[in-house]
Formats: sequence, C-alpha cells, structure tokens
Amino acid sequence: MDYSKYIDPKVFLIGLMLSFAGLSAVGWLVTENNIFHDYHRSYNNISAETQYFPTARQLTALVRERLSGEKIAVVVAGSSVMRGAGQSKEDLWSSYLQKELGEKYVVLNLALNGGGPGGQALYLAEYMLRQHKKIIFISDASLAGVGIVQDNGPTYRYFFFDASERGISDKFEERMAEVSLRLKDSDFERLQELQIKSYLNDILNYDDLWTTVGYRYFFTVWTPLTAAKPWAARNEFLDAEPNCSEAKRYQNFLNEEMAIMRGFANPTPIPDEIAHVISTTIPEHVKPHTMFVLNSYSPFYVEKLSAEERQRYLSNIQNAEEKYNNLGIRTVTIAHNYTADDFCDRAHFSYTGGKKLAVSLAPHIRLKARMLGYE
Amino acid sequence: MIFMSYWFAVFAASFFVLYYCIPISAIRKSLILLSGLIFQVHFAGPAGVMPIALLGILTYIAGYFGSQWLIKTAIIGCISSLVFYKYTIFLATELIGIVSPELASEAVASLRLSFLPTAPPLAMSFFVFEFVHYLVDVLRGNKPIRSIADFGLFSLFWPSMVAGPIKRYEQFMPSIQEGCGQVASSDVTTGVIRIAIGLVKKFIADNLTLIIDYWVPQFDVAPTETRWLIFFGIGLRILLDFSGYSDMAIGFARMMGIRIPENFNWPYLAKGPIDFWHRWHISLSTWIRDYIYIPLGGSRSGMFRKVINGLFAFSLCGLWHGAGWNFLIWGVYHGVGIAVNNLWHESKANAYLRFDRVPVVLRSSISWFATLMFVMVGWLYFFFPVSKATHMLAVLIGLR
Repeated sequence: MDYSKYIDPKVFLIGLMLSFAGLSAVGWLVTENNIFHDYHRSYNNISAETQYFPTARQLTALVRERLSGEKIAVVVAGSSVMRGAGQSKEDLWSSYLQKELGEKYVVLNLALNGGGPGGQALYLAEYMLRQHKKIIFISDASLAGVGIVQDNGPTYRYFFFDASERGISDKFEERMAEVSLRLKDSDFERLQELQIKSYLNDILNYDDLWTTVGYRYFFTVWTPLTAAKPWAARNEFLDAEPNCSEAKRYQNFLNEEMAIMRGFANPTPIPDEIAHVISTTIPEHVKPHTMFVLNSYSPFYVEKLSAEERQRYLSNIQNAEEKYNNLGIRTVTIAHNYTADDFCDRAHFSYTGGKKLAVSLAPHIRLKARMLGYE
Repeated sequence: MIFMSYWFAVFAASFFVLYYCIPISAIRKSLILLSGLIFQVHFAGPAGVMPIALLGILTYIAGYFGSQWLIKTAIIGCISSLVFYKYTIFLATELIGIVSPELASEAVASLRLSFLPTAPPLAMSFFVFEFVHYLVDVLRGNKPIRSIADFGLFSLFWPSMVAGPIKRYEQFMPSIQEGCGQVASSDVTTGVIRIAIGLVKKFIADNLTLIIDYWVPQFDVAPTETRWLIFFGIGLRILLDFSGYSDMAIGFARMMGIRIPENFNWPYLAKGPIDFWHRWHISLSTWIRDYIYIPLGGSRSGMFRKVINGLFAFSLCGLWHGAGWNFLIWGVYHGVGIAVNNLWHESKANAYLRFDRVPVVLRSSISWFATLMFVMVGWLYFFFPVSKATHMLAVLIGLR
C-alpha cells in the first residue's frame, strides 16, 4: 500500500520530526516536578517488579520536593527489611522514624525489595550532597557481607546507568569500571544496551515521558501482579500492603529458615574483598554520612539454635559490626531484645518491630547528625 | 527481537542519515553492503558469520561459472550445512536415542564440546533458502549475478536478513538499482508508516506473550473462557509478531526506496488451508512450491502424487521452522489439510452434499471458521511438545 495517496509525504515527515522533538521536550518537562505525591516507600506497582521503572529524573524531582530548606535528609536504602515489607503504609517504620526525629528531619524511604546500599538511594544521596544538603544515608547490611553490589543487581541496574548518564550519581570511575567489567564477562550485550539506552534517554527523555504517562494516564505492559487492571495508570494502584498476619507468622519453611540460621551460626567472617566492594560502591566522601544497620533475626529462630550456635551467631554479629566500622562505615546492631511478635518472619519486622526499629535508630541518627555538625 | 534493540535504533538512524545525505547510487549500495556486514557481525558474532560467508562465496562462484555439477554441489553444500547446524542434535538424540538414550546424551554432549555451536548461525535457514533459490534459478537458465558486490547486496540485505521475507533475486536486484538511484519522499513516508504498524503489532504481540506465558502453566485450572482466549491468543500472537516483523522489514527497505515481497495477506480471513498458505508467510510458501513441490511433480501426476508431494513439501516446511517432532507434525498436519482441501474441490462430495446450495454468506462463514479453527489447533502443535498440545486440546474441548 502506498500511504502517500492519503498523506502529503513532506508534511508527514516534517510533522513526524517535530512531534518527536516535541515529545522529547515534554519528557523533560514532565520530570521537572514530582509526580509521586503520596510517596511513602517503593511498592510493587511503582517499581521494576511490575515493569514500571521510575527514572533518575523522576526520583530527583521527588527528593527536591521533599527536601526543602535546611532540613536533614535521612535517606533509607537497603532491602525489603528497610522498605518495610510486612508493614502497612500507615504503620511503616520509616513514618514512625519521621515522628521520632521531628520536623528538623525528612525521612526518605528509597529501599527496594532485594536491594542493598548500592542503588537509587545512594545515587540520590550523592546528588543531594552535591546540592550541599544535609544527608544521613542508612542501609541494612548483611552479616556475611553479601548484597552489596555497585549497581543494586540486575532488576535495578537500569537506574545505575540512568543516574550516571544524567549526572545524578557521582562521577565515580571505579564504580562504573566494576559494573562494566562484571557485565562484560557475563552479559556484554545487556551492558551495551543499557549504555545506549541511558545515553539516548538523556537526550530524548522518552523513558521519562513513558513512565509519567504510565503513572498518570495508562500503562502499556501486562504483568501478573496488575492483571486485574493491566492498562490502568499506576497511580490507581495504591500502596495497600497490609500488616503481616499474626496467625500466619512462622507457619512455613521452618527447615529452610533454620538452615539459613545455622549458616549464620557458623564462622562466616565477612570476606576481605568486602573492603573493595564497599570502596567501589560508596564514594569516599559519602562514607562519613553513611550508617549501616545490622538487624538481628527473629528470636523465634534464634532460640531454636543450640547454645553454642547461638553464641557463634551473636559473635558473628559483633564481628560484622566491627568489620564494617573498621571499613569506615558506622554500623549499629538493632533488634537484639525484640520479641518474636516484632517479626513477620526471620528478618522482616512486623509493625510493632518497625516501631521499635524507629525508636532504636533515632538516637543513632541524631548522634550521626551531631557528628556531621548538622545539629 | 533485533529490531527492538537500542543498538539497532542507533544503527538504523545512522544508516538512514548517511543514506539520505549521499544520493549517489554506488555509494548507497556500498553503504547497504557494509551495514549488512556490520549487522550480521554484531548479532551473529564472527563465528556465526563464517559459515554464512563460506556458503555465500560458494554460491556466488557456482552461479558465476554456471557449471551444472558446481551448482549442484553448492546446493548440496548449502542444504548439508543447514542440516548440520540445525538438525544434528535432533537427529543424534532421536535416532541414536531409539537404541540407547545414554549413548545419545553422550553423543550430544560430545558434539557440543567439539564443533557444534550452541545455536545455528543467525538466520541460517533464510540464508540457505535464498542461496538455494538463486542456484536453482541459475541452473534453470536465469542470468546469474555477475558482480560480487551485487551478490553481497542480495545476501546481506539487513532489513530481511534475520526473518525474511525470503527474497527472489530477479525481483530484488532491479528494485535495489531503482531504490539506490532515487528515494522519493512517498517511499520514506510509506516505509515509516509500515514500520509504525509493525511496532504496534509487536507491542501487542509482546503483551500477549506475557499473558500466554502466565496462563499456559495454569491451563488445566484456568476458567473455560480464559482457556479459549489463550487458545486464540496463541494464534494472534504469532501472527502479530511475525507479520509485525515483516512490516518493519518491508518498511525499512521501503525507506531506502527498495521493495521486497509482501509476506502476509490477512491470513486469518482464509477460507481453506490452501487459501491460508496463499496468505501466510507468502515468501516461504511460494519457495516451497517452486523449489520442492513443483520439482517433485506438483499436481501433474494425478491426485495421489499431488497429495504425497504436498505432504512431503509441508513436512519439510514444518521441519524448516525447527528441529523437533512437533514442527514435523505441524507440517504434516497442514499437509493433510491441504490434501483434504484439494480432495474436497476435486471430488464429487461437494455436489453430492449440495454444498453449492448453501447461501454464499453461510458457506463462506463455515469455510472461514473451520479454517480458523484448523489453523489455531495447528499452532498448539507448533509451540508445544506433542503430548502437551494434545493435552491442552483435550482440556479445551472438555475431554479432560
């Protein structure tokens, strides 16, 4: 078929180029302001888990809106534990932390399921530090030193390249080299695609436009988790995660969880290469602003260890805390005296545990603020 | 999917900027050739390019010198290469496996370790079919492509390299001469719109894939209406995916001012298996007709031979799509459908059943629906192992 019978070709082509340029400009404009007005934390429907990929510019707009004046930003990174899995939005531990800390502080929970210290929260903290904001960066950390990855793993890797290309994360050559080297060996094609994608998006802003349209008007990718309303705008999906059910706690996977506990009860020193991992994940000037949180696990499982295993497990926690502190990252251990009811499972806090976490952390954060000269 | 990668977006944008900025035919041809080489090296890797390059050189030389034995040798070489890369593992597993499954596993592991790549060279099936078409037509007396650069253009035309349409050099070479000489804005417009149509189809197909992949493992417990939606969704997905790709290939070519054959013509409106194959993957079905069915005798030796030739041709068509029993069965299934269609037309059953007295609209509707169901059932065998496809069919019609 010859479509030029119906459309003047020159007009069409000029219109196409103008539209393309126009959409690119719109993509830039729509991310000047925050669209996540009711943001408390990341959840399924606004995260990569359901094919929604918030861009670096969008989260920067969120951060700029929340952080005004001379407030001290507490940027929360890390895993589902810090994200508040098992807690409803109304009972979110980071909201309690905000209440504990008061108006001088702004708590921004940017933790992600499966995330770690490296990732969107860190890059945004770097951005805010360059804007001369007052920043305290906290993340959970593992006893065995795992889960610290420069680009936060395959699911969230897109953000690493997006933030880097956009100049939002620091220009940290060693970090980029580590990620590129790892991907060059394992998945060179994916590395190339991510590099090209972030380069093009920096110029054309199409990801910004697409995710804004997806959040506000309609979405374009079917996922099982959004199957009930696959094409609905993502702002129609609220953070409806409930508090974990008391009746269902500790019902499943006892053997698997105890196997993990016994793994932590064996001498599992944090490997020496953790120093290299941390030094290529967190820039040197960010380390003084950083605090790791080592969370003890649920006593439901700890008490099932033998006395000897329990002793080794507690010793491992202490060793991990020492090791991270020696690496220049202030580290505190929390949840020693919590009860089984304060947990939903081995690691995730229930809403009562989340409250306690907030209360436990607040003094450490204030101390950090004083050490940094913020108070 | 290659056309949906960022690398390709940069590649295509760079190509077209240069193509339009340099309106000199010879340079445009060089650009097409060079870009085709870059495209193939990038997506196939140097190891994937070598076998294609060797076959291409063999084909060109055989066509250039034109001797019968050389051309026939080249044809055998091309087909043998395809069998080697695509079917060795299947043959080793299925033939040796009949005698000894353990020996078959060892043979396969040994083949993979020693000299067989994990996947055949990219687009091997398409390259071989184009080379064989070229050689057979030269053998039949058509003029060969003398210039090695022109032959390279025919072989390494990146829009259709990976998944067709399968080109015929007699139509393609004049088209490329014309296109490289002058590209009208109407060509660019038509090409862009065609690409956009392809992209929309791909977008729908990709979403269908997500839905199908989610529901197929739960097919047994899914609600009845969902099962039927998935059943039709599988057929819709392959049409949109494949025809969308073809649209983009045709669109990119048209943006160069070059026309390549259409590949789909509303296949799900077909009113019989024969009609379906006049509308589905047209470049393949015509290739099968011209280079397998007709050389075997076609319909020239009576109904029995016609049926046998058709069955054989479609068995090969099925296997061409993949090395697996399900592909063979799918091909035979369509061969049987074609045979039944032929028999229906030629037998007296039509008149006996007074089918011609049925109102045209009703007759058309019945033919259309029966064909649609025939094709949709076939897709189950195309995409799933035989036992799974049969099980799904049984669940669908309530037998399980």
